[in-house]
Amino acid sequence: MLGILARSGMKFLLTACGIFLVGSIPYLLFNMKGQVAVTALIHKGALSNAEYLPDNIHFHLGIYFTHIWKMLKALPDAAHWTYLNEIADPIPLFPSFFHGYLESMMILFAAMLIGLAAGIFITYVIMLIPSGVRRPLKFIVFVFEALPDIFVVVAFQGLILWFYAQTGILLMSTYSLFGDAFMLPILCLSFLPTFYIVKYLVIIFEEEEGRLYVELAQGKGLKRSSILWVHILRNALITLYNHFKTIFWFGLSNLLALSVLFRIDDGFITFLRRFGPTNPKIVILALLMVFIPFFIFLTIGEMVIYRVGDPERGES
Amino acid sequence: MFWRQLLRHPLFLIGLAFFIVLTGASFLYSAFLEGHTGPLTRNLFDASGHFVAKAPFSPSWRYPLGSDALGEQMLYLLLDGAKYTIGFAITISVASMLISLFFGLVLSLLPRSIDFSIKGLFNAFHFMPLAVFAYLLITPVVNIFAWSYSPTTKLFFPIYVLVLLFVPILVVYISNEIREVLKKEFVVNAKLLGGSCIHVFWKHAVPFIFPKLLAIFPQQVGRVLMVLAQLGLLNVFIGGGTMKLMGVEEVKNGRFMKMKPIFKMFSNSHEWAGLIGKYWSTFDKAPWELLGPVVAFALTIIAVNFITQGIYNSFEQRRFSAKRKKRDFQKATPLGKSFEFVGKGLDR
Repeated sequence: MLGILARSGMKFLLTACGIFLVGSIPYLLFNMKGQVAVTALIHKGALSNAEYLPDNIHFHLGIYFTHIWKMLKALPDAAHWTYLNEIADPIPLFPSFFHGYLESMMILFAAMLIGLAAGIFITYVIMLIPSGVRRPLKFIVFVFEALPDIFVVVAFQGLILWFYAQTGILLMSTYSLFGDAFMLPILCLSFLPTFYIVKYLVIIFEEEEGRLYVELAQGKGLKRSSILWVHILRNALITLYNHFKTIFWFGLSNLLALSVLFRIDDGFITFLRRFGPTNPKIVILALLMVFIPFFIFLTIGEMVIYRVGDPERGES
Repeated sequence: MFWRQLLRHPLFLIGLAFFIVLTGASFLYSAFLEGHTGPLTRNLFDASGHFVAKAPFSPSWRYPLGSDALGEQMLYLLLDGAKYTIGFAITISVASMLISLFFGLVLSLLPRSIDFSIKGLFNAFHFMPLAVFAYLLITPVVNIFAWSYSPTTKLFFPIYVLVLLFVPILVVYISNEIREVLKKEFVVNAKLLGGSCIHVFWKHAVPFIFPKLLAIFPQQVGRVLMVLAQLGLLNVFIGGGTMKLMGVEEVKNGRFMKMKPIFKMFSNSHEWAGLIGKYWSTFDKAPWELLGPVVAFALTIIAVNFITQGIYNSFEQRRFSAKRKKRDFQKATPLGKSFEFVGKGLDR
């Protein structure tokens, strides 16, 4: 147990370092201070032509590391951070940023839960079907899982439009996640994770089916449905847990396509898109805000799996 | 054995055929059709001269995939764009694969602690979509601070960013795969039997590593295509774009109302991501404009997945046939201890 904690602690520090290194790259490549000032002048209308201010991409190593150091020192005070808008006016980051973050994360979380439930259910149905007939179903799952997120979101939007044209009922008003119908983005977001989960769960289930404890259970005369639901599922979920990081990543990148195509203006990714390039510190903060809860969740999960037993499978 | 399996694998063949046909058609289009398709019309009239429709036209016999607001055939645009899109995806994948191959090999030979730290650092990339990282690094050059960088920088910088962005993920992936093979019993045994490091690596490890790398490549192409599509949505294009004035909006500036120009980026080529960026805002009026490039991306990515799956399956089949032989052997020996093969690493 202590080993896991120490290892997790090391991982945490390393990833946090990585976040600061990655998030400060704009300072490494661009002359941020000057550029942001000029952009502000252009947006205010004080400067109409900046063509005579050419620049090139150099490595500003000194500025890069001082910026990382400054960020580290400023981090405890993150609640009072400000960001610069287009005309370089400082605006308090909280609570508007936190609000968007909370919305996005809740939607993501709900979508993953729905994806997990639907994924388990579909896998269960597939596993009940005799293995000869399973192949075409598995193929459909394989194709669905491969679809790019943009396609899924566009198809979903197309369906809403089509439904509107047919019945005159607008299923979803865009521009806000928590509008009248926030179930729709959640459903749209859960589509790909569902099929990802099904794809891997079927592989894991089929692998587990050959194990001794399943044979024993069959020998004892347990029903197939109860073997699947109770015995195999438990073990399969532990293995699926190792894929959790990838599923999460899937969801995040899906959220990007969703927030652009549904024109969600108050989301957290939209915020990053608008102000991230000129305010790299928001990017660092956002990365940390995604990483830390995720990390806590992952570590708790690892500890639970360790307690439950079979540490061999629990290793990630 | 592996190659024979692969060249007979239906999924692999379908995927490959899709690529060959699409790229071939795209080049044929530029060679023969481009510029010979007749003048564009924005208004359609029927046989008796009555006005029928105004561009963008919905899909019909004359416009199989519809047209855009200028009356251009979506089909031709997509065909023309295919070679750029696939070309960019393959170029970027090859470049990042080569870089990652080198560093992945180095990383797999380094001690565990260094491996652990580098993987920990690279983990930072897992908490935001790759397209967002790419966007944050590329837009300052091509869009926000556009005045300060030369056209060459604007053309090549996005490509460098994309190539390098995929390196961390690939390095970790490749070094894991190599490590797994190097841990296998036959490799360890070959070393114990006195094979030199290079001999063991080439003769015993490489035949196992190679098919895995072969499968990583199309996967990588798929990943690049996915990111290209998302970047297109964010109006960032590989291969350069041009700012165009779209209109003006009134902004309040102190006490005065001021006209502020609205600029939008358009891709220089008909590359699919550029088409996505161009058409997504008019989705509710002419959905076929956006559906064209999006479906094209989806089909290409599915074809890539077919290829990957074909490679995996052919490799698995080779392993399975080896497994079966051993199992028969095991049955023949009466006191053979049952044992399990620990080599399910492929699907992870």
